[in-house]
Amino acid sequence: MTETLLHLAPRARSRDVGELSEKMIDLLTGAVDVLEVTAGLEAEGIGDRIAKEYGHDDVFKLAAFLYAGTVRRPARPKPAPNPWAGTGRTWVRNVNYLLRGLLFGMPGAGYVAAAPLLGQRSAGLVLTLSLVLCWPVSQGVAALAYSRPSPAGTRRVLRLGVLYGVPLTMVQSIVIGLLLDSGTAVVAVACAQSLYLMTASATLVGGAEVGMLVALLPGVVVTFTGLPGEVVIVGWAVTGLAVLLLALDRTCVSKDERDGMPMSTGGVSWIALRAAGPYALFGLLAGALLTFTIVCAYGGYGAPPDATSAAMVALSVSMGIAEWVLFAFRSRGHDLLQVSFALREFVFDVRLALVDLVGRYLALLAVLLGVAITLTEPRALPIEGAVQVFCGYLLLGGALLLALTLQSCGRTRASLLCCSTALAAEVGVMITISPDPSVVQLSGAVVLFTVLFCFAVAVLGRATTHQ
Amino acid sequence: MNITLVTEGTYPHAYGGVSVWCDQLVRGMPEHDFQVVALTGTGAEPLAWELPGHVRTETVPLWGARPPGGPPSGRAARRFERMFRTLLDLILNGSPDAEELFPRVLRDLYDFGRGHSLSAAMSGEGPVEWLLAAWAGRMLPEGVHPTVYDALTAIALLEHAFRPLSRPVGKADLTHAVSNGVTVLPALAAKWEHGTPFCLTEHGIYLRERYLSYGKGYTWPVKALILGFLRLLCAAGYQAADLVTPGNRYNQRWEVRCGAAAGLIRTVYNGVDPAEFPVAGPEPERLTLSWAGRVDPIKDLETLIRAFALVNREMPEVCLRLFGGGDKEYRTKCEALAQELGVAEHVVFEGRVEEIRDAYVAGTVVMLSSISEGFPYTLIEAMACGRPSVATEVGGVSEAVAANPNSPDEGDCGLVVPPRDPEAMAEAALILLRDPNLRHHMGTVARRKALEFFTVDQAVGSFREIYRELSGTV
Repeated sequence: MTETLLHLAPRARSRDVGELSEKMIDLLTGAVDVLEVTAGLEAEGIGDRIAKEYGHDDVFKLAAFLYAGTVRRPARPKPAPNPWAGTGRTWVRNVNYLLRGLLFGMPGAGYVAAAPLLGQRSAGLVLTLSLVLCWPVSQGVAALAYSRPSPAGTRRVLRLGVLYGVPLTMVQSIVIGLLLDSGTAVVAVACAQSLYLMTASATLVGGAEVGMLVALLPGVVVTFTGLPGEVVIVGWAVTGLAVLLLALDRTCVSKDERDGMPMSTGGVSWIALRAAGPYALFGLLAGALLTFTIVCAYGGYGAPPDATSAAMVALSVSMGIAEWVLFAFRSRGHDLLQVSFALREFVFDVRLALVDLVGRYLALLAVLLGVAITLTEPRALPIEGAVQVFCGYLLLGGALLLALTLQSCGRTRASLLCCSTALAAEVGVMITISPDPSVVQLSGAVVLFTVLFCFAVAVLGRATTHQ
Repeated sequence: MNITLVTEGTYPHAYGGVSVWCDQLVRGMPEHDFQVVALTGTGAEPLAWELPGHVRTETVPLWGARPPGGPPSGRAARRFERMFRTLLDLILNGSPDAEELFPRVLRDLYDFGRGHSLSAAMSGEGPVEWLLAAWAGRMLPEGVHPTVYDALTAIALLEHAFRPLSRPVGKADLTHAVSNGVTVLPALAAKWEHGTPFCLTEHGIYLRERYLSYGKGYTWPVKALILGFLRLLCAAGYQAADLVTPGNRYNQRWEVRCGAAAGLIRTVYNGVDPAEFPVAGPEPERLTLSWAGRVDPIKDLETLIRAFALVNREMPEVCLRLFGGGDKEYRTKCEALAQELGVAEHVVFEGRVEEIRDAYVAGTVVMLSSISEGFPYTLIEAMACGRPSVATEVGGVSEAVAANPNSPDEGDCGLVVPPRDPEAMAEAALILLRDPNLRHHMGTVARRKALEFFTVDQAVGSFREIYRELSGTV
């Protein structure tokens, strides 16, 4: 019975090796050795018994025969997908970056609207401090959200950021307002500023640029049409509410997505929180470096140059360009890895790419700063102060871009160390010898940019950095 | 006895045949203490199995964040460079003495890793540059020009593969590696450090599976380097093992070819618990072909569905029931095929079932259509239940269903057909479907053979004996 049954199904027959070789041509031309061919044949169900039907003792011998009879000519590999290239059409992506830049700068109109209040005692300081304290929270939440493995996890973290971050940053603003005795109206503006920053970061990470633009329109329009103060307040209230609703809508997690996700925390562990810490700290440091002269003014070190607020807005707008430059650099680094055949060649090209992109960013920022300062503060020209502000903010913008690029390449600690050392030195100099704060800010920016640039050229030129 | 059981991607963090086997093994020997060293992905994988009191576990993540430690400098850096360049030469040259020299380089790297961070040393620019230089000095196939990206990818894969070598080695009486490849690194380290004997069990063939998985998705230079490394590593594993215990005899062909000494190979078949798989009882009312397992392309359900369509032409009353979850995309493809062949109404995907035995009870004949298997549980479970089977001739299938050597006259326990051959499979299924006496006879001898050769007690008993022999406590 044994004989009959076992051999009943597999009928003995003779097979054509040529046909097999043709069928397996991709395996054969791309194989690294005979064993790969053997494995491939076995995976096709060709074992020792079938190998005999091809006239070979076993599948290893059949594989060796096929391997010897073909030339290795592996198929040209497809380039590895570029994680930095983004999806969709190039022009849509570029418009998006510009839009984001605009969105970073448009809230500046809020300060124009609040101008009547800014003359009040400590109003500017309250707004500046609460802005600086908002940045670490929004940066930390954004970093945490980006670290989530699933889009649902990202939205959940952003939602938690809005639900807890808004009250937290508003409390910060109220406490600062109370401590500096600034009055209800100023505290209200500071709270609105916190609301905007926390919700805007959630919507922008969620990719709702156009929605944000629409939400901002009421506030911006009422500000520049010379309407009475009450209408301006209503306009900005509509903007605030619209941004909040947009953020809540964009961070919605569906019921299906909720399954299997620890909803209380969005799956965030202490490790993830700790990893987001440096980004939060960077937000704080960047805020402090940018508002240095404004804070100094309230410390009794003399008023900041007139062009400062205009420069802040120009720099905010340039953050859209900075984001584009960062992605373009990472994307170019990734592409260069795949077209470089020697390390030296890669190192040269990637450094060139860095210098090229930083140069382009600085050129665009220079134009933005020039336009902003000339348009808003024509009387500041050609005073020395305006030039200082121009140079200071140009280099600070460059330094922040370099720091962000380094962070994106895993060099978080180094960029934090440079920024915190620069800030500490600036504060130290002010406390000890009290020179003109804008000179201190400019000197700090020169040193910080130079150090970060040299470090970036060294570190970002390594292939392992672009892995 | 203290036993270190090394697993990769299976027990105790995943389900599947190998994990079932590990669970049976450790539960079957409560007299020993087991330290399971689980090589995992990120280290964040939750436990999938409840561990008995005598089993402890330790995870070695291969893909998580890089282990701490800075790169070497000065003399240590130069020493590392020498070792690493030698390693690359051995892999790329493929010279006859490579298998002999490779374990020495591995040992040198292990010694280096005791004082320095191997991961940090391998993550610098040096290894990338050395690999590019090594490639530049060699003849490569037409059209192959390795890029910096290739070098980075290959070095990163090596760095991850080397991580288990840096794990601190405790003293145990025996190391049992549950596959070849990176799983043997802790076993080799224990052997070098404490002279700990080591047993190497393979259910499939590690190297063959890697040839298949690295064959797709990597460029030729990366694939050649990693597979070259794994080939030498597997050879080192086979040569250093005090005993190689494959799950079937068919696998020995690969093992001997890749460096195992034929005299040190002992096949130990998987086993099932007879209490969990009592005789299935009467056949289902409707003639049914049943299949159980993970829905996956490797199970080649397309051939099974094509074979069923041929059966259906002859015997329209037969149905096909498929039990098990898995690859949804593949299931959709199979459903579309059934639709195309006009048999969709007779083919039922049942999904996962609580009791896998129900899948065997539901079948008049149990089918197995895989293109690759070790020693499939599905088959021996069906045999234990007393059901006849039609299975493809892969891995240890022929060994499982061959006639009982103690009563060869009783005949085979099932029919074996070539893989990817729907006609042969349909023909075999029709023979059984048309002959109730043959089905009954085959089912009876299958159950008898399973109870005699393929029980958990047999499998665990064999390893109890092997542990005693290897640890010198015979």
